[in-house]
Amino acid sequence: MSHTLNIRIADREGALVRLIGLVERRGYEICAMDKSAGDAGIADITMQIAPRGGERRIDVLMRQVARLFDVHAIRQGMPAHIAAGTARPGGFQCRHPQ
Amino acid sequence: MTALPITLPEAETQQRTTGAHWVVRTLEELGVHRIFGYPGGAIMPVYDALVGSKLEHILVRHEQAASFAADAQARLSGKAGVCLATSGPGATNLLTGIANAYMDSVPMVVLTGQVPTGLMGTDAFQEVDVFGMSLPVVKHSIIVREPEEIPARIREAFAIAESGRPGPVLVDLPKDTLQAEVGQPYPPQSLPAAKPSPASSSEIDAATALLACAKRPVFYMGGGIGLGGAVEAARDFMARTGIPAVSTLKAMGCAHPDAKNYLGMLGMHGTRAANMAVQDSDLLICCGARFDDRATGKPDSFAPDARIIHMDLDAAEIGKLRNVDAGIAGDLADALARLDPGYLDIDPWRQVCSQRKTEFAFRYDDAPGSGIFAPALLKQLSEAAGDDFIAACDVGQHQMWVAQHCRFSRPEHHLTSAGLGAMGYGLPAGIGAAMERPDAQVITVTGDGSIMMNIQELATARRYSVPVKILLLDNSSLGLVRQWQEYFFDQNFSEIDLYDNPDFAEVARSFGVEAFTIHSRAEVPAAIDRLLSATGPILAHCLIDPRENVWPLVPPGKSNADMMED
Repeated sequence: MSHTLNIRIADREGALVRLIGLVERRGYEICAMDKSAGDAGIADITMQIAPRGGERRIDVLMRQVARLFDVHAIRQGMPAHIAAGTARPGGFQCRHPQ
Repeated sequence: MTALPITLPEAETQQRTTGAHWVVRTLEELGVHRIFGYPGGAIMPVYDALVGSKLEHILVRHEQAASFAADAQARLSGKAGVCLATSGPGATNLLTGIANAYMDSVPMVVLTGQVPTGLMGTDAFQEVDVFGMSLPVVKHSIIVREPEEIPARIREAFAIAESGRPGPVLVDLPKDTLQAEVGQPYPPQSLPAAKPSPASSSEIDAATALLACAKRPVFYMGGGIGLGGAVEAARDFMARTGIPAVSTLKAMGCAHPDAKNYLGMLGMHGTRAANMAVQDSDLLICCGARFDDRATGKPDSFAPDARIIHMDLDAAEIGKLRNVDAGIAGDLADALARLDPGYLDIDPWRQVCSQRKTEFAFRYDDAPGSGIFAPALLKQLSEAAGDDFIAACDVGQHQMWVAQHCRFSRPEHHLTSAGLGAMGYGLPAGIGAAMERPDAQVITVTGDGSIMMNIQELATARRYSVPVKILLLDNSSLGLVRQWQEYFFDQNFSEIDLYDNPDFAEVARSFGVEAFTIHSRAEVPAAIDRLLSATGPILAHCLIDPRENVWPLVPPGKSNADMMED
């Protein structure tokens, strides 16, 4: 089962690799990802992820992401560009819209 | 010859202010009094600035020891320990200590030199991407590229390391950042860190309701209790509710060793009374623990009939390995004080637990022969040293024996590499602890395998006359591995024989450390006296039976109900 996460992070050195590393290390494959260049040092990340091997609890991963110092907010939801009606070719399906 | 006063032109008397000076000034401002480190090329500007500073720098003989010593100091003081190393190999040598602090949630600030920013990413001499290498084992990390940012970033590192669930924070300092002259005034201090937030009332209410109807509750204490300043609250909860309690390796000392209804350590080498209580429980109140596999055994057979209340300051731990019936995220002392079920009708359960505690208590009177029986030696040592002694353990059989047979009045007095299980921790941790608490009895308990991983630190103990007492239990083998090979690998003994160890007492003496060797049980009382009455560093080398094992034992992958005995 795949999940979509919307994550707002401080757009500083190492923040993205720390986030990606955590998600991979905690047993998820990143199927698709999008990063928007935000204002004032903030970036919005949208990730579609799927557990590698057995099922894992997405709420636990979300709390593990949320405790990263660089992460301002996380929610499970729709990819930003789909929500905005600007789905691109190759954009992914969101199975669990909020 | 008396030096003549020299008057320098005004411009030259002004304090040189480089990034490195600001590193030192910020550490001083934050109340750091001691740092452990080892110099090298990229970090040299900081060593230059250290001369004449208020900071006490302890020169270790391997960077890993700097990280372990800083870790021990942090566990005892509750404030971030600080270690310092150069780029490249200096930084990679710190990684084991960083991982150790991460696994055991120890506040630590790690300062590493780095090649100049212009050379970063070019495979320069002594360049490694320590920021990238340490990502999985740090709470946070920062590369400081502007000298003016040094105070703010270092303050931030301390605030992150010490707040919430503590952990290590790495600050990577490129050499040009350290060498640059700072072109602005030193910035004022930032605000103090926020206190942890209390748990919500609805979470407490849900847990209280579960407690009120439990017939066989068990209080499962973890390291978070000590880290979160909740020891008194946990003791009060135990006394108030009378719920039988067990502790993890890291929570030894949370309960007073003689506390009523306290059953000891659970898990792989836990007591039979503790493991049986947990297996039979209908409600497990997990407080600041994380359902680690060494504590739970086979996860799906752990406390199979129990509902779970999970209390943790770190919300990310709740539900990670075991679904919970009530999760309480927040300050543990506050949550424990608010968790009040009133009268609990659990007398029969208390009696069952208490009877098992008596029935399965450790015995010390049945060891055959006249050789040194390590569990009895440790019990005698602990009793002679008093409940306030501090143990710095290495990793292996002796580590488990310390947890089983020594008494601790506080969790921070039991320094042990619990999560990472890093051999080599004991000696540098003992040094860090004895420097932090020079008036306490600090005893490093180590083995012949473990001590060789950081034996060079005898030089540090000697150099600073550190009052650390080293008890070396020598069975001429890697005992815990040998024990597993004996029982789980068909006695196919592989690479565990350390028959050609050096004469450890001679080695210690060559470092200038007092040392002696004992072989027989009759020599134990005098050895303990000598160890405890020594003032400087001292090593007692105790030859023990190589066939001695740690009991009880839950075989790997088995349920905690399947404990093996000798």
